[in-house]
Parts: sequence; structure tokens; C-alpha cells
Amino acid sequence: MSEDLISKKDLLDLAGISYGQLYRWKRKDLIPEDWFIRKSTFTGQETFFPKVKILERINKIQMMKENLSLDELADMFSPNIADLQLEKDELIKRNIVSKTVIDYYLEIEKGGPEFNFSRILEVYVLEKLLQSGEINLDEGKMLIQVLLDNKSLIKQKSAELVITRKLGVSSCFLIINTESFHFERGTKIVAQLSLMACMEEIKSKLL
Amino acid sequence: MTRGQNLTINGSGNYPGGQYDKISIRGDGTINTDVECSAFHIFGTSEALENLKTGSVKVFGEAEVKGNMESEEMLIMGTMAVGGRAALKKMKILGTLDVGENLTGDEANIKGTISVGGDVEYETFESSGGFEIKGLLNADKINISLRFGQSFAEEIGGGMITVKKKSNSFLPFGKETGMLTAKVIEGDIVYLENTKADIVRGKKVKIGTGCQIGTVEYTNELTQDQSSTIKTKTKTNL
Repeated sequence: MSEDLISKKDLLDLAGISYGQLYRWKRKDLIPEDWFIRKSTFTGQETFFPKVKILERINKIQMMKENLSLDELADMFSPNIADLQLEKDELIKRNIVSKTVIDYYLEIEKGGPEFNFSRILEVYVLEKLLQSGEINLDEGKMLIQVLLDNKSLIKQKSAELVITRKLGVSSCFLIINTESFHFERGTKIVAQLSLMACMEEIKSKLL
Repeated sequence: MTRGQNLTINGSGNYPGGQYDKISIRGDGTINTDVECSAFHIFGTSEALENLKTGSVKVFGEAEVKGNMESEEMLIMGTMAVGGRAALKKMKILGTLDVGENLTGDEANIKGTISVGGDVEYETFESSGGFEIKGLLNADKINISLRFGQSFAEEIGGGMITVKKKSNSFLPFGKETGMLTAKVIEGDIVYLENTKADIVRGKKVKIGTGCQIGTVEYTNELTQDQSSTIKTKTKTNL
């Protein structure tokens, strides 16, 4: 642990919040339990936090608490977003996906216009890669197939998506919990995407 | 909640879990697996070997849940023990409650005693009984009346923390009052009586009678009763 730590006192001072607020946020699970690091100092027991993470989190909370209740905020920070449901039009309106991409996705997936989080994630990944021009429509189709086949794996683990091309033939990999991967020479990695990062992006776009 | 059948045990019985509407046990009942119901009334002895999820709980006898427990409203006149976590939104304890891990909810009213192995998190926490909390007691409003015995929490944190002693009105003999012991107490407004603590931190700190405090760190103001001792006082700037 070489992270920079900040004591609770200094944190309250720096962020301009009260004990009551800090404890309330902890109760609402806005601040994860394992960020509270208890240590004994020469003045007695003191709680420390990872400095960069906690300041960023408090900043976010303070910015967003104007428009959102604490419970809504808690939903946003927790990885559990199972009960989220959005209409197709809503997704387009909120600029998460474009109409062309969502129509293409529905054509492959053949689902209804109600999107739960895992479907939002799929269509978002597709949107991202197609819009950036890194993949073509056929590769997009392949990608969706991979995501659909492995739906259950994606939810709980940190998954990464890799698309490669060799001699004009492309393939798509879903990589779960790996540190690194290597291909033979001549294989080009077209796109690489962390699904965890995508989830965070979607969450911040939704709110 | 889904309406299922009622489960009534008069006498003694051993039943599987599942979904029920109302469960009432007047004798001695054991429920073997996970159970979900809208009401859970115990007049005798009961044991749930796994988890319990319910709307309202009333315990006049003795109840034990080996796993985790979840309920909206709870009244305990007898004794209740939960082995794992307990999420009890609104609870009133006139008897005793034992929780192995964390205890969370909105409103806690304790006139009996509770003992918790982990942290306790409530919006309002009111106690005129006794408690023993191995972890952090975290609530927005903490109101503790010390009537008898020793109350203990490793840490106490919240917005407004009030600890007052209260003499026993209906037991005139013995002038004994309760005592609260905690390592750290942190709040915006803190008022303490009969409290032993290593560190007290707050914006506005008032130390009443009968306290022994190691260090007080305050930002706005500190008042101290003459009968209490504070080893070191530091004013910090916010």
C-alpha cells in the first residue's frame, strides 16, 4: 500500500463537510467500507482514506446531490444496477447510442425495445466501436454474438473485449480476469475495450 | 408480498421454508430452509436454520435465525438472536437482541439490550437500555440514556450525539447509573455524560458530569463540567 492517505480530520477540512455528512454517506454506501483505514497514531486512533479516490468521490457526491437523492446516488456507485430499465427512445435521446446502431443491434439480437443494463452495455460497446471506425458492421455482428453468448460472465467479472485481424480475417475475444495476452506476429489488435470502464461510462451518462 | 399459506405451529414441529403469508409459532418450531413471509409471530420458541425475510416480526418468546435476517418492522419482548447480518428497518427492543454481524436500518428504539458483533447503522438510534457493539455505531441522531449497566461501542459516529445519564425512577435503592465506554466518538454536536472515551472529536463538544476523556479535538466550542476530566484539549481549524 503505497497510496497517499488522508486523515479524516484533514479530509473534512479540505472538502468542507461535516462528520454527520461523512457518516451519512458511509451509511448509504456512497463510500466503500474498505476505504476506511483505521490506524493508531500517537494521538490515538484515527481513520485514514485513500486520498485521490475519496476526494474524487466526495466531489462527485457534492456535484450530484443537488439533483439526486442519496439513494439514487448509492445506486450509481454500487455495481448493482440490475433493476435499471430504459426504453429504446430514451437511450437515443440521452445520447448513449445513435439510432442507426440501435436498429442494427436490434436486427441482430431481435429483442424488444425495453433495455436492461446488460443490453445497454452491449449496444453501447457496439456504438463505441462502430462510431470510432475501428470495426465494420460484420465485425460488429460478431462482437454482439460474443457478448450475448457470454452474458453471465460479463456481469460479475472484469472482462475485456479484444478484436484482432490477421490477413483480413477478424476475430473477437472476450477475456476474463487476465493480466496480459499476446498474439503471433502479423496479428493486429484492432480494438481493445474494458467492459468495466464501459459500465462506468454508461452510468455517468445515465445520470 | 406474495400471499401464500399461513403456517401455524401449536405444539412442536419441524417445517421446510418457502413462502408463507403469516407464520405464528406458539410452541416450539423449527424452519429448515430459507423462509419468506409477511408476518412472523413467535410466542414460544423458534429456530430458522437459514435466512428469514419478513414484513413484521413480533417475538414474545425466543427466536433464533442462524443466517441473515431482513424485516420492515420488529418488536421484541423476548429474546432474538441472528447469526449473520440483520437489516431491520424499524425496530423496538424491549427484550434482548443478539446479532452476529452487521445490523442496519432506519429507526432503532432500544429499551432492553442489544449486542452486535459488527457495525450498527441507523438513521436514528435511541437507547435507554444497554448495548454492546463490537464495531462502529453510526447514526445521524444518536440518543443514549444511561439507566443501568455498562454500554460499549468501539466507535460512535454521527451528526448529533447525546449521551445522558438517567436515574432509575422505579428502583429507588442504589444510586447506580449506567456508564458508556467507547474508543472514539465523532460527531458535529456531541454532548456526553458518564462516558469514558479515548478520543472525542466534534464541532461543538459539551462534556457533562462524570466523564473521563483522553483527548478532545473540537473546532468551534468546548464546554466542560468540573467533575469530568479531559487529559488533552486541542482546537483545530476547519
